[in-house]
Amino acid sequence: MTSTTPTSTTPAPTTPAPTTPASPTTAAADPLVGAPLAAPSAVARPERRGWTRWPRLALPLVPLAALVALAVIGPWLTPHNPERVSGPTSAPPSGEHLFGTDTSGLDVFSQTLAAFRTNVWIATVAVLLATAGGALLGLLTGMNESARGPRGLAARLLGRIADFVQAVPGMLLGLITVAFYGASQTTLVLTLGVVLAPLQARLVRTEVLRVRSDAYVDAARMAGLSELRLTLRHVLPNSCRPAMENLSVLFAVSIILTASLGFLGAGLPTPKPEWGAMISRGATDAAVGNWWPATFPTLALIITVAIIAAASSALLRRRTR
Amino acid sequence: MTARNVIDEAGPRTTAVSDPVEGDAPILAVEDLTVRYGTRSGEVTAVDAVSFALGHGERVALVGESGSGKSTLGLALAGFLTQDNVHVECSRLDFAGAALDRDTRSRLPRRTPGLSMIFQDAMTTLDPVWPIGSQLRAVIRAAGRADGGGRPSRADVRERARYWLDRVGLRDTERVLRARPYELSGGMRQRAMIAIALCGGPKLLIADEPTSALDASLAREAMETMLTLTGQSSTSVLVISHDILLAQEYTDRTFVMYGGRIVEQRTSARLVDTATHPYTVALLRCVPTLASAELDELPTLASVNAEITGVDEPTEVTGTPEPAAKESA
Amino acid sequence: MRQTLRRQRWWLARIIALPFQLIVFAAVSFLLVHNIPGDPVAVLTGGQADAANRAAIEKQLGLDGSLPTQLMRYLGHTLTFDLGHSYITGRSVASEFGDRLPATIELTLMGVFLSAVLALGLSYLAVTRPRNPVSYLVRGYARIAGGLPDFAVGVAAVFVFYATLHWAPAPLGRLSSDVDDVPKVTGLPFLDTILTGRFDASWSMAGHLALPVATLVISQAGVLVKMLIGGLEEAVDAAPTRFRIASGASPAMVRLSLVRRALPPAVTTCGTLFGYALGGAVIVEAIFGFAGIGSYLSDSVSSGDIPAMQGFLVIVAAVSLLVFLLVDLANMSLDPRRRPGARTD
Ligand SMILES: Nc1ncnc2c1ncn2[C@@H]1O[C@H](COP(=O)(O)OP(=O)(O)OP(=O)(O)O)[C@@H](O)[C@H]1O
Ligand SMILES: [Mg+2]
Repeated sequence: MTSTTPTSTTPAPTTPAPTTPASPTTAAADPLVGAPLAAPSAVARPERRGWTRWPRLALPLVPLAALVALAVIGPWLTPHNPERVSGPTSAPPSGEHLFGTDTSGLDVFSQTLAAFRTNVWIATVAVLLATAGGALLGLLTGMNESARGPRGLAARLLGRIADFVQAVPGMLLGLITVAFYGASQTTLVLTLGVVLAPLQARLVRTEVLRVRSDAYVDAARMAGLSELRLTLRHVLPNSCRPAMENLSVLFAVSIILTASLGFLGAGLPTPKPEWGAMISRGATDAAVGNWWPATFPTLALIITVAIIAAASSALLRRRTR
Repeated sequence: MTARNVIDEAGPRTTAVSDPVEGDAPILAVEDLTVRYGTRSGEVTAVDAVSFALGHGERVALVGESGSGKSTLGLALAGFLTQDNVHVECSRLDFAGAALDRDTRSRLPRRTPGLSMIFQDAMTTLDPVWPIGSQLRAVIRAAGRADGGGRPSRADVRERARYWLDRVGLRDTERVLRARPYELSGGMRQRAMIAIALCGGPKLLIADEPTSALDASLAREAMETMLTLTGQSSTSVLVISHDILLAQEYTDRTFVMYGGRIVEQRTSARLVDTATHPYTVALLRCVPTLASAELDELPTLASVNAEITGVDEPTEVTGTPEPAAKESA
Repeated sequence: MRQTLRRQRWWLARIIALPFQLIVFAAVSFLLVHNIPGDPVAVLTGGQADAANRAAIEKQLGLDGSLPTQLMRYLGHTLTFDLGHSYITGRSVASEFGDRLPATIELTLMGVFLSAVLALGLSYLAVTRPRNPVSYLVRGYARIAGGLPDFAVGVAAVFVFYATLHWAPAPLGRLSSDVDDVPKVTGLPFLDTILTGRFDASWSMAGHLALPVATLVISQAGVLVKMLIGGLEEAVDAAPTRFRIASGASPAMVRLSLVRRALPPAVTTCGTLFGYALGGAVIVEAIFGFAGIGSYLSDSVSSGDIPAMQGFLVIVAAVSLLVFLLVDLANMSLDPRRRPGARTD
């Protein structure tokens, strides 16, 4: 994170006004001053300095920092062992058990807190993996798909395969893969990565196709830059943006997918704290009127998704400034 | 040619406006129209207290540099500025003898009956997913119903659609009727657009740079078609243009816009002699003429400006507000 | 004849390609499944099989011979709608799906259809009447789109409307226990109640379907609303809309034109939503105790029933490909520029 220094926001000295008749000349730069001119389009703009701007931009990032902190140290903050029975079953929230206990007597507060690590960690790694894989796939297909010969053929085949993976609803694919390979954090992360990578690949590919035909890429190619260097130096940096903007959406999707799998019983084995599994167990409680075992993990999940969405939109707004 | 009601140099006669005789009242009377855009970096006044009047069958050109607010003025008159960040105010807006009363709650603009508008690029203006024939017929049907003649018959509508294509000079009518905009050439599209805009029988046509997407000869043809047709039905026309020569040639009066204001309202034929505003003078001097062909170099707006004020180069700006500086760069 | 054929090529070609895509998919899924570590025979016999036994079982499961032979055999069977037999129950996978899939599809379709209709209405209102109080609500809802997991909505719905308010029937299936079962006609349960004239069952089923369908709609429609608001907002200020209005087309025509231009991205999203809703339906079936592929999938997942899961992949892919085909066809008729061969600049 770099803070914008005040100097970088001051305007560069204006270049002499262009000398074409139809060129828009700014009001103050107009040499016609003094002549009986109409008032120029007035532009009122609140003064903005670096130091007043900074906290406003940083504010949405505070919850993000808290989230990261919880994910890192959450498991050490739990008042009870989240994987051991710690009190009466189905006890409502109280001073001893802040969020109550579930049907088997596990402390809901400790479980919710400890699950931050599981869920946030899985989602983060899965999203990074999907983005890296997707970018690679998008680059390969985008750069090569119109090529003749085996290279183009391979690229087109790769693109088709990605389409096929996308054709199967992510959750069902995840369910089956987890069933085949057994439930563990690694399987979950890899599965989510495979399910989500085609989304990113498609975004990157679209951009690659656009960038590839841009003049400067041709110029660099003429200048004798090798195809690989060209791809890495020019095409990749210029085609990542939509995929980056999509990160928060992917994060939400993977948090929810992980929890969905947990909900259907294809997640991590039982006592391991995980929101989806907790909600699934809490569902039976909810049907008999005990609201707490399902509510708190759900809230944690929704708040996490919201925090990531807010932080990413704040960061993006800042980059587009 | 039908009689035109040109409003004279002195500006709109206030007495004439309240005159109950229809023929004398202007088709459009505007007073103190102001349009402000709220942007992230503050408010921009695009149109600033503009007042004018347009006679029945009169043709007016609106010229001015880029960003002077011409399109904004046209859109405001047609009622298309319904966005949340746009503020339109005026003390008076009369069209066809009655004050315009517009629904401000709906984001989707309503039509002002009798007011039609065409835009710069027919490719992006025509509905891309419907065939030309369908777009034409939709207007003819609605116009027929508005006339109180009940629902016109299918055959009748078809016949009228063919007739209009023919009028704008599109001969291959059957094919054009079935074609979608992207299946036509640029000139054909432009003609089709004119046909659709005029087949509803408008009283006023606002044309925002109707020909600037075409090359010079096509532009002339399209302009002539448009003006002939509007002339036959004595439809008033407000043409927005960059081409001051074209404007002078085809219109009765010329308005010059600068910085959101109309700074000059002159009879087109005498614009060169009567222009007083320095910007208009500067603009006219940049136009290539036989006399200027002798010169080594055609004067540009900036060099003319420099001459007017006696400064060689545009002065370096020191205290400009930053967004303006950025936009010009 | 040839002329007509050429004009209709845009959709004919897409339909003809479908079976081929499906075969490729079946082959890919077969190879994927084949490469899974683990020994199905050992799973089946608990690791107790001797050599002769093993050969017999492998033959029975179609696991004998080289990989290409197995693949060809599998594809051949798939083409004749034979998806093999379950390792566990020995029943035909295809008939198991035939029994359960229609119910799930019906639930999914109800969710997607209602989402689409609601989303269109609400986003049109939000765009054209920005200062209406409902519009603020709709925009707020669109902002949290995708952040409402279906299982959470479902559990909350059961808690509020069944456990607390007692408005909804118990989440234990499609029919109340005092209503007799309805004979099967099409396999789509709700449609069957109407076709057989059992309106008492229709009524009971509608009551049981209200919460599940609402769950699907609430968790899915947000994405669609967001998409449509964006599309409509752009279309309202687009030149074609302005020209339609200015030239004097009727308001109904203006609205139609507006929606038709804003729709294609939303239709594509609907296709994707169908996939999500199918996954969501599995979850909703679990929450509300509905019969459908959800429970079958859970069973085969927990018992490691490979033919069932493989069949599942192929069938879900077939359904999804069919949906994508419909989406493409819908978009190509909405916007002719999307047809292959249309000239665009
Ligand atoms: N949607 C908008 N939001 C904010 N500002 C706008 C918007 N549209 C126009 N403006 C501003 O209003 C001013 C007038 O714009 P307008 O489009 O009316 O100019 P114009 O005279 O039509 O120019 P041109 O000849 O280039 O078409 C400009 O300063 C422009 O930046
Ligand atoms: Mg303009």
